[in-house]
Amino acid sequence: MSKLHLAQAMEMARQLLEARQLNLLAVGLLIALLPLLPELPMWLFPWAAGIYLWRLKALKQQSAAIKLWLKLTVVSASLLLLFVSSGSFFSLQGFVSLLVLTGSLKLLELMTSRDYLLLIFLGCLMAACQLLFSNSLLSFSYSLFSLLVLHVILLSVFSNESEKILNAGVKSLVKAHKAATVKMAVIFMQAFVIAIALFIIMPRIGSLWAVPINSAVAKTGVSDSLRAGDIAKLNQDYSVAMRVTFSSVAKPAMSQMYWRGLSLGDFDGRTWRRNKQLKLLDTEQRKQLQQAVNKQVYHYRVMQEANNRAWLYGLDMPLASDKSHQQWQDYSITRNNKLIQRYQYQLVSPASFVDQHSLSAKQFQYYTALPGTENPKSREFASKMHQQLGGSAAYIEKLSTMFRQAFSYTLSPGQSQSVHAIDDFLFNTKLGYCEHFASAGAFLLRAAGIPARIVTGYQGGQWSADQDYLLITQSQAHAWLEYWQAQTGWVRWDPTTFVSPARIESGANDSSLSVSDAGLFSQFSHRSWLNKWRLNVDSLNYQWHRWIINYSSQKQFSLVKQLLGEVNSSRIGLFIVLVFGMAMLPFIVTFYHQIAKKEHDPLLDALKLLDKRLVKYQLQRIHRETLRQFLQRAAIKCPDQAVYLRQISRLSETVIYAKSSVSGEEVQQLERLIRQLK
Amino acid sequence: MLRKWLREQFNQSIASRNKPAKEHLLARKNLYIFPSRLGFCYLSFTVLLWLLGTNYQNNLLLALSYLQLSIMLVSIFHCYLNMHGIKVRIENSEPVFCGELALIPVLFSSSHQRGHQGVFMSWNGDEQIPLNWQLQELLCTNLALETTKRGFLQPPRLELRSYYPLGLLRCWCLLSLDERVTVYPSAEPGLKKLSVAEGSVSTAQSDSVHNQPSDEMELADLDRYVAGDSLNLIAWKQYARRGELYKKHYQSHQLPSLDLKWDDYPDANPEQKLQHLCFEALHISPAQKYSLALPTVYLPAACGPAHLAQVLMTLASFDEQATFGAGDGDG
Repeated sequence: MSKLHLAQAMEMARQLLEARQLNLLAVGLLIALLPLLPELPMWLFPWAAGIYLWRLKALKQQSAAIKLWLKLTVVSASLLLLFVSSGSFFSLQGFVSLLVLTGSLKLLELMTSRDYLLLIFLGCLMAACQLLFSNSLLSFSYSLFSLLVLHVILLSVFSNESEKILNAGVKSLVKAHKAATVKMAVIFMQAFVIAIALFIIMPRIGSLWAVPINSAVAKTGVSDSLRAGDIAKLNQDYSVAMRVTFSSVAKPAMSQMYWRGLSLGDFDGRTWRRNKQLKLLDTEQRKQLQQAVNKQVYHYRVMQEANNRAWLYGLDMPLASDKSHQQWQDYSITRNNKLIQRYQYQLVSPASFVDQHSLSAKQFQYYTALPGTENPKSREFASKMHQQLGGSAAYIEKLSTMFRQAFSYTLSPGQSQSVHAIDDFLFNTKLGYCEHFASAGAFLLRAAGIPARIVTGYQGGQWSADQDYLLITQSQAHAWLEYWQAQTGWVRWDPTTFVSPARIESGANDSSLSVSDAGLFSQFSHRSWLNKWRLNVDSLNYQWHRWIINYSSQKQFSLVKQLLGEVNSSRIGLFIVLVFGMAMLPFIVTFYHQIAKKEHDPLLDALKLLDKRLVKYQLQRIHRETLRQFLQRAAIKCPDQAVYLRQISRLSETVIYAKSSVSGEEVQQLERLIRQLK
Repeated sequence: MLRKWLREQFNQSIASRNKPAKEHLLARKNLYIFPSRLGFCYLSFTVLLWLLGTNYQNNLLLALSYLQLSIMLVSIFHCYLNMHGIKVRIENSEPVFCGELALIPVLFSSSHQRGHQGVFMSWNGDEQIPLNWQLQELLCTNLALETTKRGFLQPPRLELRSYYPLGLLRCWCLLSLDERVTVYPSAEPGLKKLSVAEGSVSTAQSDSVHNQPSDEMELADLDRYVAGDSLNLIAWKQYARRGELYKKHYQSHQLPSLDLKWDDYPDANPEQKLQHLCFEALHISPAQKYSLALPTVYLPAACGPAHLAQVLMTLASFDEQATFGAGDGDG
């Protein structure tokens, strides 16, 4: 019975199912679908388009129903195809593909208005799904736009305009849609205000159950192993690696901005890797770091891009305080899960830190190990030189001078085929970028018996236009090294600085050296207006991510507290009601204003006022009593007002019975007279 | 089943609150809003979106789900204000014979300039008729109701509903309209019992009425009988000539008039009797005087359309069980 009811109620909608309506729906769905295309299997979109065309053809030939066995064949075929192409439905991509497939198959079944409306809802879901893959401001705006389009289609189903659309030409069709769009835009705007309030207020609950994550996030940025000579040409990648906001006033100089990621202490003769046997930071180390922090400290918040890696970056040496982070003996910080989406964290670093931690014999051995027999020339050079100079300090000084005088920096050093890559670099090419310098430096130090390890991370950064945050791109990825000495502990040593001081001073982008090598890309960032624009866009993006994407329950609490003074249910309720009222008020006011305009009759108002005045004298109009009789009665009861009452009587009769020839003035006069009654 | 039961309960509670009236203005008191089935569907999509957003800890998905929720909230207002201000006025309707369609004129007017979109009306909730407000302030429709019973037809409650703007909400009202349509019995010819007591005069007369109610014949009758005959026209002419007949006409009206009697049709059941009487009343010439005798009501003989209306009204309102007087019959 109720089924029938609904069907009847949507009779109008049912009539709409003709080609034009189908096309309209298809446009809406297409708009919602477009951003998902890269995530879908190749065949899915043409397949869906084919199904749509088939349905359209059937509709135009008036044979609305497609044969059941045909439908079943198509459905099973597409499910099979999907299963074969995506492997499983239990991945994010599989889920989205299934959604799109369901939508397109539903087109075949599109018979009643209910199917039509259901498809609109499916479209809304598709429009939302693109946000699973990208959460930029642009994607969000686009999904809002597609949502708006779908709602306009929905609205046009339920308004009078639908009749117009049915039997009208293109011109009035556009007009009708314009009206629907305007209406929907008003609703959207009001809803937006309320949605913002809900977004701010509604409590965040963590994941309710485990969900398939987007496994397609590429590993980017700094890797956890390093092998000099592997990469012939380093591509300048200007995508954002991370952004940093300092909350402390003190900020390190640009040349001191070493964003430390991992230390690579494990060397097998060719490749530097992360130490697998590393232990967590012990209490003594933590205490030392804490003491250093108490002196002068940098507070900062890092927002790291998704890179599918688990470690975090901080100014050396950072101190992690978050419980979900682990800090290791080499001061590197990791997280339990790999970053598949942007992640924000807070760190502190002391302005200066002397590591007084002593190495155990085992550790000393580990950090000086040079297994294998590769690079014999370098080994020989190192031991000879160390002996000659008679001390580590002098030896390191000598190396610095050597790098400065004889080496140059390039991003495309060419691939080294030799097993003795370091020998090749040190004694033949003398050309390279940070990895070459770091690995050669560490090799030479270890060969001289000085404990050394390579550190990877980022160097430098670029301040945003308003100096609010530091932008660090992948092109600023860097490698340097740390060596250990009894008095000073682990000391940072960056051989690349000696080669190309300018590069380190201002960050990789503006390096005069890299211009010739990196070619177009760095020239690109040289153009000031383009760079400015890029920075402005990034600034917007940053605020977007900072406030919207990473709006967490902690932030929520502090913001709501700031906003309402106190966080309790009554205040929150009041807040929502207030916002709701604010959103609706302009609309309601104009609405009632219109009614008032239409129903406002000055004469009637004046007579109402008269009644009100005379109530004071216990005078009330009796049923079937004319105004004149009433006023006469009133004049008898209060003779002192009789003059006015008679005047009112005369004037009101003129106004009522000679209405057509009466101007507004007389009514006003009447009102004035009534007001004179005491 | 539960849904239907709930709906009925609700409608009854509405009915007890709304008094019947000739005119209704749709406002807060008589408008009701509830999510439609589509609205619940929309809500479940919103919840799905929220679940996605929560599980992926994706603030943007959460924001979209809040947006959808807000759209639903906002459309409550738009839905209500769309229906608000419609004036429904029911006009007096013409009496009909049973079996005919009763047409009740209903006027819809709007107190807003912006008009009303997607409003449907229905009686009994079975047929939805769209109200198309485009470019007009006043909308007049005739509500057609099938009549199956003699008597007074109370129009069922008028339901106005709208799913505007997004179909997520149903805004409706149930209006009891203070109007009753008089339904005369359907006119059916019947076999009349030949009356023994009345003699052949009345039978012959009724026959003559049925066969040839022409003026010549009645004029001839007048000549044969004396002045002051039952036939009105001739009485007037007589009055013009002599003047004295005027009085005589009134004194002697009972003699030649026809009697429509309940007992004329002994074989028929009460309803059929009324139908036969109705048929007879309709086929008497306008000038013929006749009386109506029902078990509880007696209408003295008279003629003319007013009398006919009164007779029909009496037939329509006749209640066998009750011993009540004839209806006021002002129709």
